[in-house]
Amino acid sequence: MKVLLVDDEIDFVTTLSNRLGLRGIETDVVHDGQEALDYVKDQEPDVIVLDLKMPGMYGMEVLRRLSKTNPDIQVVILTGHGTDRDEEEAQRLKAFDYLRKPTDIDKLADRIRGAYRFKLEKTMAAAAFAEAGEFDMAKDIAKDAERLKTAGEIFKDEDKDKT
Amino acid sequence: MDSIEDVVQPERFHLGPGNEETLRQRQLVLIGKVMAGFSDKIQNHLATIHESNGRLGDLVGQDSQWTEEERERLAGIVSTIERHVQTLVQKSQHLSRFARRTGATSCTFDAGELVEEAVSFSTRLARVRQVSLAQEAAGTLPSLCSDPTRIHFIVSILINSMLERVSRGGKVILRAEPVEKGVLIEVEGRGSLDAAAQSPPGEGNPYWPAMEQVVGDLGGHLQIDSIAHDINRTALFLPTTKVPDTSHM
Repeated sequence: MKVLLVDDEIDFVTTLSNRLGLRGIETDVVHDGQEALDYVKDQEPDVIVLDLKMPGMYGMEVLRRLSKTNPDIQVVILTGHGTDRDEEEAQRLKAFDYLRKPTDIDKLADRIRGAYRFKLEKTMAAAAFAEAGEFDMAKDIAKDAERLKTAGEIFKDEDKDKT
Repeated sequence: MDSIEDVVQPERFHLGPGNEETLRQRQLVLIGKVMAGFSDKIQNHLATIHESNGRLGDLVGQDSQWTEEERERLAGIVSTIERHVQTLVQKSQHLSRFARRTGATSCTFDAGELVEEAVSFSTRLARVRQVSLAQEAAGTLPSLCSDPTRIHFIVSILINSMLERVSRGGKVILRAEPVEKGVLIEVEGRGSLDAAAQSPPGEGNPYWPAMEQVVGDLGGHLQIDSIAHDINRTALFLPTTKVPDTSHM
């Protein structure tokens, strides 16, 4: 699992990275939105933990761009000053989760693992549909995580048919 | 949302002679922005303290160089820091929400959050007065579309004036409940009154007439609900939707 932490508070994010490491989650760290986008171009992470208010490019703008260019990457927002409107916008842009700082480290670790699991399931479902020639469905799943649920139900029905 | 620079650029708002009310409004918005920025900064520092303290806790839990007694003592310190960080985080969240609404004359906001903040900001006065202050929740409050700055001001005055009236050892309870087409907020003082506060809550309160006027503008009403020997109660009704009438201001 490749995890990227994006936060301009260096002491905070360094310590967070250490603590996640102790819990078996290795992370890379960058300190602003543009760095995050550059990192994504070179090595696509599975999960990004993203602060909202950063110098240069705001986290919400990073999320907006990622939702267009890399919709498979799961984003967990971790912010100290998000508003309810930010939370709604993050949901609209399909962020995996929205947490407020400070958060419990074990809760954050769980969410990161959950986001990774979700990404794997989504990728596997899309691949299975593509293999079955259901390219439209595969494309939909790749684009829109909400369709994963539908896909899951179809798989269940297929399993029933097999038995 | 406007930045602080936007708020203080008068040409953006065509300020001229006779625009004192607009200027005052922009001043409130500026104060809100400053407070919001400050609370954001506090929140960031708290997050770093929280993680550093957590890291310390991780080390204490892992490192075998500590005796059991030392480990317990260190764990106690880590837990005390964590408790205080959590308290401060909550206070700072209240400040942040309050700050972001300060200066707004009309918006939709969560009435429950506003009440929670007003209680939170009054705890210090309650402690100084040695009066206990409690909030009783009665169901989820609806959102209000109104003037949050003025409503917060009114609720705070109601709580604080009741805290001032009740003698040491007394209790002030704040109840907020959804009612038809609005929210009812009751501030109840229990216990003997201070000698200086034997008259009903409205009498002698220099704010009262102005408060009644403001609440009326917001489509609500203020009422001294009951006066018993040791129970004082003021009630504030606020409608869910009301665009403030400021024509007389």
